[in-house]
Amino acid sequence: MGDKPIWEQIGSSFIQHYYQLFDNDRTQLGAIYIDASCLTWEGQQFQGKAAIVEKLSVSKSQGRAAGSSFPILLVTAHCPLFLLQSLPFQKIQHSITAQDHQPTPDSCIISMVVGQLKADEDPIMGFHQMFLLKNINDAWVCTNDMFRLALHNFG
Amino acid sequence: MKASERRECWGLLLMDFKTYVDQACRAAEEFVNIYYETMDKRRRALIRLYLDKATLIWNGNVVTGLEALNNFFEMLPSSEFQVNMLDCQPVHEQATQAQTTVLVVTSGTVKFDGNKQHFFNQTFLLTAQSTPNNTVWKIASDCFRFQDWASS
Repeated sequence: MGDKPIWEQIGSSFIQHYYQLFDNDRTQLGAIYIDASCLTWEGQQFQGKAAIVEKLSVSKSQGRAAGSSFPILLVTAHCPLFLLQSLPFQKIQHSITAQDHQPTPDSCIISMVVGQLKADEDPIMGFHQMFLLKNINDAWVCTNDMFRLALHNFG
Repeated sequence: MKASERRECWGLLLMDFKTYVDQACRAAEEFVNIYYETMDKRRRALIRLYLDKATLIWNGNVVTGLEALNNFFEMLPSSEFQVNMLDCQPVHEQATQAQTTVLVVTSGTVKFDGNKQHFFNQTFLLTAQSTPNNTVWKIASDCFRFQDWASS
């Protein structure tokens, strides 16, 4: 019958869930991260659930001016002054070209995604993203997340 | 614990983590340079960079274990890699017997002999194996795909 290995089932379920949340209501993404999670978004590092959710949320700026949003200053009890910039787009749609899943030696799952996305009225762009998933108390959470646009690829 | 002591602890934790991240990422960058140079110029030595039980998924093809990896890399045409981007994160290991683990994502272009040039993305899970004299990094998981995989 050829059932998919369990890590592929979990990985692809997660991927589907993640992009569905991202495209429809990214404020809900917090649930998949924990305080030890790291996100690298286009080279910028974010540490911890709160910082990640802040980054991924809808921008608080009034409108888009020359492609950048207003920076947001965030001071918390734990962190030094951070200069954060929420994602500037309102609408986003991801389309997955391919995904790969592998188990790791310590029972985590690495998922790698290649695809395309369209933000607001911008032209379609390629992207790739990597997730490390860990099972904590019977729930699969994302401890590491790295995202890059394929900016060189105009195809 | 007094409030001032607690604040100090958090400060130290942050500093240690940042230092830890920087060190891990610098090591990862060095490793990546060695990897692609070995891939391009000393292909037969490439499997030395993999753990015995390492897995590779190459454009959707699963390759597991050193023997399979060896055969795979022998068959793969000669390559010219150009890495344009590298991202790196340490992996928080909460298990006591954990070794230092780092995730690396690279992207750039590659030309395999007899084929057109492609944009590629590659993800490595690297594990540090420490001996008294030095630390050796090896690949536990490797995932490679062309960015334009669907149309290639």
